[in-house]
Amino acid sequence: MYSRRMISPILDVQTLTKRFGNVTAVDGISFRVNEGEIVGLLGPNGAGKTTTLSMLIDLIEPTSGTIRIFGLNLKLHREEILKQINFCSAYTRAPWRLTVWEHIFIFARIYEVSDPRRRTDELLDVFHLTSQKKKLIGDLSAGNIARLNLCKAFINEPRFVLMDEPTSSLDPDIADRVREFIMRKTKERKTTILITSHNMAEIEEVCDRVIFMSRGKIIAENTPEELAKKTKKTKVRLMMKDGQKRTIAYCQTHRMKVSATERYVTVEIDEQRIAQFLHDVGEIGADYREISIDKPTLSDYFIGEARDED
Amino acid sequence: MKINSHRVMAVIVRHMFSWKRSLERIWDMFWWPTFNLFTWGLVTVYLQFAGTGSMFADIFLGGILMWMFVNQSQEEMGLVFLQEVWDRNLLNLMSSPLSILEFTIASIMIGIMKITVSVLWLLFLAYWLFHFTIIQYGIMLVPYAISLLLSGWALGFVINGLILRYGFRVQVFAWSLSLLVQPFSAVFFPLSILPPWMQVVARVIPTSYIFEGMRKVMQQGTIDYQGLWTAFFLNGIYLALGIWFFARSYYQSRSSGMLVKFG
Repeated sequence: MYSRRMISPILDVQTLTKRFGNVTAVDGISFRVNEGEIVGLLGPNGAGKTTTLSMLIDLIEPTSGTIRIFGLNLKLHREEILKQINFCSAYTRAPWRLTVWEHIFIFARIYEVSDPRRRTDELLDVFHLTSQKKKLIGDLSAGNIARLNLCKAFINEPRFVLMDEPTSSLDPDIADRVREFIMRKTKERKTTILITSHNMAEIEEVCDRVIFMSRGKIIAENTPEELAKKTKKTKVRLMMKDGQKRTIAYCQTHRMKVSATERYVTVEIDEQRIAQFLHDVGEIGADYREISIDKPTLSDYFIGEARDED
Repeated sequence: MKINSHRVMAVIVRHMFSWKRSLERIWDMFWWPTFNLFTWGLVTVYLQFAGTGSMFADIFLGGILMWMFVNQSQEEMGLVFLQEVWDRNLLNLMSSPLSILEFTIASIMIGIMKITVSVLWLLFLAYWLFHFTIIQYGIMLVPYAISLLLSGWALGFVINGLILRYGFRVQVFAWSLSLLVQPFSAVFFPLSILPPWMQVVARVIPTSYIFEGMRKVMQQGTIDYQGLWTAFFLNGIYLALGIWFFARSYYQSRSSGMLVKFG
């Protein structure tokens, strides 16, 4: 059981494969995303995340496999599905000669939103873009363009949104508001979100579940907390008062990964062995002034897997 | 395949919003046609003084006006697509319910609007500057104009197909492909003065029949029905081939991942 919000599958991907010539970008992956879930799609560069996302919005033709969204086959029901989903990416822009209002209004019409003028005004307000609405897109800051992309992504009140690094280039305050908005939407309207990001803290904060890809395959699928726990080592940092050399020697004898800088000793250790370690440090006559314990994060897991790949 | 008029309209409105702030588009619609008309118009005035007769001037100016149907319809199809690529807005559009067919129809409609504005402007200028009015030849030139539009669209489909397959490397064709066809089209001179090998090539180019027919209308006041039907027949074949090539290229760009690279 991954999430309390799990209700019914919105996205069902079965043995999805994409080959570009001899290169297999996505290698027979299968996964599901349930209604109201926020799922993170993670992996190092070249893992196949963007190719997967592109296949889900019909921009890339899969080599084999099936994609079912809302229970419908994407290949056979493209229009019906795309009407109810939306997409935003940090890598797309918008017509620089259009004003902010015009751009959103055009997409309100493309998605056949009822009362497109009202909806455009409403959404610009939600994303704090009302003051910019007459401004040409070419004159917007990178942060405002990212907000504009998000605004477009929610114009049709989508049931399912795919986001490719939506908060990159946003300042922390705006990124935080965007995360709040995403979480609020999933609660209010049960909007389902599939998100890729290189911001691990963001993924940990917003995602119910994470799918980790490497070399075109899914190598892990779990909650962010559980994935982080797979990195067993916790970092214990001691500011030594006395016995630094003895502590380092003790760690090396017990085959612990240890590093030292000036008066600090940092040890990577299993969480359950911390108490024993601190006891032993006292036994060998070493003393410390301060201690900090860093539990493993999703970022540690990501770095570990990315290095394994290298 | 269903066509949704709201989505087609949305793409048209998007380009209308853009046009009013686009000096290049205004240049395309007014400046280049004006420049061409003015330059070649003065040449014909000079030749008239040299004793070539007023019909020569009419044929020349008629050729300029009619060629615009090919040039602008072809160019606009390419430019509407390229504009989305340059603006990195193509993925936003293609990930929406908008289909490639709806997008193409919108491009064609935008082209028709642009041609209408340009032609009306040129008709006014040609009359004002050179007292030339193509309207005197009446409804007889209308089927020729329609056939020229078809030629332009056939070329437009090929150009967009090439861009989808090979990316920005071939975008120059959006401005130049029709110029490759122009010498074989006998726009300003009779087909008979072309070298023999060019006449052979011209036989399979529909625009050559159209401009020969246009001259017949202007000189004799009659329609060469055989030439006109040949032009429509060839245009039908080229348009079908152009659409097929474009559809194949679109599928291939989705398969190769090229579409995503356009951003």
